[in-house]
Amino acid sequence: MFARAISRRRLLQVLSVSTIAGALAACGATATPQVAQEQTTSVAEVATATTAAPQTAAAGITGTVVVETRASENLVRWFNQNLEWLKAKQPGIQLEIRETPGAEYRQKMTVGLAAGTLGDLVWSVPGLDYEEYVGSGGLQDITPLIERDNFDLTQLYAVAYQAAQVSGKMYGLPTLTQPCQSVIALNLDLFEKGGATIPDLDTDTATILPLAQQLTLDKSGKTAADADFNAEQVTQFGLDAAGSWYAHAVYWANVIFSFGGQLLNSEGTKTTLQEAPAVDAMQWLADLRLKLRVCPSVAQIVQSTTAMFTNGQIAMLPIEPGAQATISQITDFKYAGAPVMKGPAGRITTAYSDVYCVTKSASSHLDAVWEYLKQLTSHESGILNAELFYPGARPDVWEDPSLQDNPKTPFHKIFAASFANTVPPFRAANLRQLQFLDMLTQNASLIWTGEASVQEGLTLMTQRADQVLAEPPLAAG
Amino acid sequence: MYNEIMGVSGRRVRRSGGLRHRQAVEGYLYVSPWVLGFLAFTLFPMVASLYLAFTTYSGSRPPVFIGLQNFHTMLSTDFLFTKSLYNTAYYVVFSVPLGLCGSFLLAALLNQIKAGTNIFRTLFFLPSLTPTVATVILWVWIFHPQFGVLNWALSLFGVDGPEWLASPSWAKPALIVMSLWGIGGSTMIIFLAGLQNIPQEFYDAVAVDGGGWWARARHVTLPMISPVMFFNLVLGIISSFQVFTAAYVATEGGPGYATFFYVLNIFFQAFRWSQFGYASALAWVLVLILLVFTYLQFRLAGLWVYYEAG
Repeated sequence: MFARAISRRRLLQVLSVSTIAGALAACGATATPQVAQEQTTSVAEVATATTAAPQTAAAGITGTVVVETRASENLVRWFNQNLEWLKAKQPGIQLEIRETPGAEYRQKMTVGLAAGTLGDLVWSVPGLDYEEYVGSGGLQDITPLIERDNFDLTQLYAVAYQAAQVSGKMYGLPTLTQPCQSVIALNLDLFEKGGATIPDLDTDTATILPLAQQLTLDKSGKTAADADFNAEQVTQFGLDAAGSWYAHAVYWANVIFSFGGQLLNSEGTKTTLQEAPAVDAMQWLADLRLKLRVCPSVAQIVQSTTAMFTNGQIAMLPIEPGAQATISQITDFKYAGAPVMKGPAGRITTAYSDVYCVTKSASSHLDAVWEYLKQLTSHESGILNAELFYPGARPDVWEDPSLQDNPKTPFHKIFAASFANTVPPFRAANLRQLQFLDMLTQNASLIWTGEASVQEGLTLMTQRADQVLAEPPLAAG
Repeated sequence: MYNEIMGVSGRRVRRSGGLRHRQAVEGYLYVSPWVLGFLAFTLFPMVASLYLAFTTYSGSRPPVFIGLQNFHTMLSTDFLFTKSLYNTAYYVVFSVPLGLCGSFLLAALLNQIKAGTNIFRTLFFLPSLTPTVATVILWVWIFHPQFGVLNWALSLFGVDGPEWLASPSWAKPALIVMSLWGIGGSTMIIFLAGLQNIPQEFYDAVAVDGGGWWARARHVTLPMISPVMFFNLVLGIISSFQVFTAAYVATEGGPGYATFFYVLNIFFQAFRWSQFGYASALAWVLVLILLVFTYLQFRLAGLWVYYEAG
């Protein structure tokens, strides 16, 4: 009797009913069902965690921490190893890792924050998107937890934890910090061929120019200092600024700082780009590209500036710590590093941190998330991070003897020393950080391409960026 | 007897009514997956975005109703609105006519070919099947000022090529050239179908009257193809107003906002700057612009579109 054939009509009916039932079930389901299953803290504990200052966390905490991350084998390894370390103290904490391809990461997080569907920990960067995440209201204030556990923020670089503070509140902890492009990598082969002197530790914006000219060659071997130098047929550039300083405002901002200028007033409500130091800095950068022709334009970059550096097409390359691994992997290649040049106001770069933010999804098992977050900022975690990327946000990791003289990180000491000259990322008062930076970046390209003079470009940038700063603030969480 | 008959008949009516009811229920059940999908993924988002257009909404906090403020900002102070609208209009003005002409010429060419038609059709159609992102990356290399094949070709004629995508002046023209890559796609196929539907007798009649190729084109081909041209024009303008991928992948709207198109603006406002309310308002303004354009085209169609039946 079970062999009765099913008619097409019956099949369609069954499929239709199934689809409707499925759709209704999907609409009715909670955004994060796993939380409901894995939530083992009591209702009283949840209320405590979400409404008042939480009580001291005890051993025996349970819960599954959901981490949102860019897709990366190294990151997954780092997360899992940290869980293993944490399990020695808190065996009841589990981990779920959600990977998203890097190109889609930010969009997915933005939408997820709006929809409330994200995991418990989300990566972001103060000075770029962290402020907007905070402004969206989707992050959890963890200041009460920091106070409850007397978590010592000073074990982290001040520039790192200060960057994660918005109106005195913290919504995450920095797990990585790096002093931006505070090192200039030198292609020693090109220095030898050009008979140039290797820059010492005190190179400044004035002394680096003749060096860059000497190391810029055209097709016939003339240097950029020669009168008959052909700027249209350059085969070797003395200095790269196109892939870095001309690429985004976060990079050329450092040059402005070194000249004693600022992007914003101290209240973060107006741009200060038309003040003399900022104008001088932008003029210096524009001259490198348009007048002295010692660095490639964005259009002249082939593949990447790091590849051009290792291929012998760029002699001096400002780098971040992450580029060390690439450079050190090249065999038969002689290189060295020097601190980035000083400006009239000194040698100043911005320290950018990767912050793992706690989302409001974590409120039901906040203690578990907090324990795991603390683990991510630990010394052992930072050392592992140094092997996978670069050291974390702790001075005791950057200065750890085991990381000194590592052949994979040849400029480690220079980077570590440069933290003394770093500043936290600047912040717009209305938290419209990324919009402000994008506006500066787009308009600055008119200067870099010669479409506008420095003065014209800065006037335009000031006018338009001030419009962004005048917009209503994103409401802080 | 009469009553009996009527009784039977009444039962039949009730039965047939029950059958109709059952069939109606089944019908609704069959279409329900599509209806549910439409409600959930099209109608609801549209209605929601219409509401959001009158709010400020940055993320997970509830949207706050602000009336017409988004539209006021757009029309009074927002430089990006006017810039992106100008860029898009520029793109539409050049890419649509060029694309239509290119597609039509290719279709006319294919229509003339007697041997190997299928091979040529396939060859012409292939580029439009390539994923857009892959195509754009290919074109980025073609446009490379130093190593790109385009500037190399120009140099053979003694022309010093521009910096294309890296130049605020040339980036938009470069993207327009890039858009011509797809002229062999569906637009060409529709033109080809239109050309093949023109009865041979019309051409014969022109020949009998002593008309040449120009007379054939002017008095037969163009009038007969005009409904197809109109169809492709309407769709071409709508799709050109929605240009996004090429600019997002190749230039991210730069340099200096030169390729910051309208839909890119919507995307940036929503997913980069967390201004979902403002982005929704921009989207609805685009809907209005497209409605106006489409309406105007239909009104003007009477002047140049020839319908045989009419």
